[in-house]
Amino acid sequence: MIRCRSVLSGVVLAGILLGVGGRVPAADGQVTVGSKAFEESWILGEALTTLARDAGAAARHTSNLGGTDVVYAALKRGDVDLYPEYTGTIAEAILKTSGRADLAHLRAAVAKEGLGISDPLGFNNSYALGVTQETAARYSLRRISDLARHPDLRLALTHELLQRKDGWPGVSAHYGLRMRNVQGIQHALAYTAVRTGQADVIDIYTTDAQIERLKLVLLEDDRHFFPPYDAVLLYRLDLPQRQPAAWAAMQRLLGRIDEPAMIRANAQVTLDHRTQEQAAADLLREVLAPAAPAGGAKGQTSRKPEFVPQTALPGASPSLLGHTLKHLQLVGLSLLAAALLGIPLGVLASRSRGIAAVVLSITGVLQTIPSLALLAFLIPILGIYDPPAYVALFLYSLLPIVRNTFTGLTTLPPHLAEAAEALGLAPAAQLWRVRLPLASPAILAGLKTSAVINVGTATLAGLIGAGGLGDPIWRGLQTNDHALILQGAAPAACLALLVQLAFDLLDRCLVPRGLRLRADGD
Amino acid sequence: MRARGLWEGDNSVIQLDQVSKSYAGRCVLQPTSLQVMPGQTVSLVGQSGSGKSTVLRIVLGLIRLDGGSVALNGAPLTPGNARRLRHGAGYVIQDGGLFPHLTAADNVVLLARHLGWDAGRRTARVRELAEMVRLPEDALGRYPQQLSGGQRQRVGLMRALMLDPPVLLLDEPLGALDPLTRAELQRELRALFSQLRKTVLLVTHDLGEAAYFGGNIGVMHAGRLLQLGTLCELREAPADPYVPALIAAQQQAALTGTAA
Repeated sequence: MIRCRSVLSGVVLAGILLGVGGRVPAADGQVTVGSKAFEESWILGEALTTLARDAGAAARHTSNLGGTDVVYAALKRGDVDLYPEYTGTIAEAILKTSGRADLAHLRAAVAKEGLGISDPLGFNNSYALGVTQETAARYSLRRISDLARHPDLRLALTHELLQRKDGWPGVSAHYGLRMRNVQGIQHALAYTAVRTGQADVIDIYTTDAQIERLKLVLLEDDRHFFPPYDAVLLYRLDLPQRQPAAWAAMQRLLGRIDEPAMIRANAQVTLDHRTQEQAAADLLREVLAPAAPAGGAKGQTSRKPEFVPQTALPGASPSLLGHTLKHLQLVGLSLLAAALLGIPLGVLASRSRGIAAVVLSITGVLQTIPSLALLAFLIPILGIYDPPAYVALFLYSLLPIVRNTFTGLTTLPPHLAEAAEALGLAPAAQLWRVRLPLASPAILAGLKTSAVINVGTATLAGLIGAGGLGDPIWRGLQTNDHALILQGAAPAACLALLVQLAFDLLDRCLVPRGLRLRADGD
Repeated sequence: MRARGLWEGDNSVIQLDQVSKSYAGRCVLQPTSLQVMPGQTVSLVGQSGSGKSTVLRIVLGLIRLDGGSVALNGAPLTPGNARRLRHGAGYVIQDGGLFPHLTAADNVVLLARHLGWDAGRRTARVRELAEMVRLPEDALGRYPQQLSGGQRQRVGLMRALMLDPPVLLLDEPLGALDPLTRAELQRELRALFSQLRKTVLLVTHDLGEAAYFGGNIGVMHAGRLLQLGTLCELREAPADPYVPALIAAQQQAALTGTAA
């Protein structure tokens, strides 16, 4: 009975904790702008947010939302109201239509999901394949079809391109390429790989600032494979009615951003290591300059002839301390919930072989799901922000806790287990007074393992808008900014050490003194 | 103090009737019957694996029987009442079997606390027991790891005696002790048994020790209780060739000083 009750209360408590930790999705009176996990998307998202805010709306920018899957799921659920997207991506990755659907077709298709597509922002950010000038000269590469003559060249391509039908599989089929060395890589790292000669060919977004800096040669798409990737706004159809002023203000960007302007803005972030807020402000100042007559803004421009962005953006970029506290909160709450469920589950498993087999295999299987994949499963159900982060961390914490509790309880010295039974203690008393105290070192070791692993895994929360130390790490990776990476990685390492220390202290409090004597030897 | 208790009256404290046990097809105890009368001390002697410890576990209901029945303090032992009946039988094992996470005193009072004894009653009983087994007061606050082997054994005995049960079951209680401590504890145990008038079932591999505690000796071999009687009866009317062989071996060991 006691056993049942403690399992139940564990589940309930876990639910409460997760509920408390979760953030409320975009409220009605608010505009939430999303962006993907690369600098161009951040800058555009930031610019849109600034415009909406200046139009008087309560606007928030939820940036760095992983790949297309994550941010699109967030849009459909209403966690975000709009985000910058590309027509080619909408056609292939979202609607899974092959070929080049025009804007009218795309609009009709997404309207069924309650979504709309704005007119183009002005620039085209297509995929291209790039090589260094040396590579281009050595293998006389000018066009993509030239690659067919050099099947041994090493390609380092983003995972998204490798996966998408309009990506690498399509390119190689279209051009009849049989490349032997194709590796998946994070986009920002690809530039380092090609610069240091560890890769020969990488995929490039045509507005990347690195093209200019590294003097990369873009291979001509001579058989016209890549569709246009015109930048547009993908938005929820209720947004214009809900927030007419903000929507009108954001539409001022349409048709205003050409490729050079976008490349310059990207360069500010990736090369000059300025913040997305600064780059967005400069971009707005440049493209909304009074020289260009503003269209479709219903008199807004006359009141505000020159764009002056507000400087201090509230809550735009949390401090290091803020990131660290959020990280601790992610790790701590998920661990607490996992302990409250995991220890009772371990106890339950120690009582019966059948339960043990079920519980241990389920928690074991959970552990093998790659963390990004788990997030991808959870986002359609739980949206973005904190809930999926907490649930994923909670699930990853379970196995070490359950298994260590189980092992600790089932490997007690047999003569002690028998002594407890021979005394005539009731099962509950045996558990509380004898078995759990004796297993406490193993149980704590399980908690410690989970905690340390969670400190690392929690960095993924930075990809789904839940913040934490992953936020600077991913941004730093994206912009090749080592200082920014360290801003996240160094505190994360300190946190891991701190967690170790905290558990050593906890050992002193929770493991009975008589057991520690044995560990010290007499 | 008559020999074979099988036909004695049924006011026995421990009664085993044709109990048997095998593990995975290997028989560890042939059908065996045994009665121990109030205040009697019976020692089971045999080599390791002879089944003597199994008998103690069966008395406590720690082992599911293949056949036969057990009665303890006049009540038939069932899975339903085993836990309650155990409160009437103190169990002491080699090296005390103390819980390492509890102090000596906490080991002793664990069951009493669980049964709701108040603190005053517990403390008084612990003090009484410490005096009885001659455990120094300062040892009560120590953990098992901090106690000597003899002290651990004394604490184990205190734990078994805490509820003042009519029955004591001791499984090689002195097996882990050095010869001097062992002799000292043997003396004290014998005095204690007669003073407290407990019904005692004791397991040892040392025939000399069994004889020292007096009462009947049961010789066990290969899962069978070969003979039950006083040392004198075992010597003069052995029921099986194993019995004189065991006596001879132990005498030889005692003479050459290689006794365990």
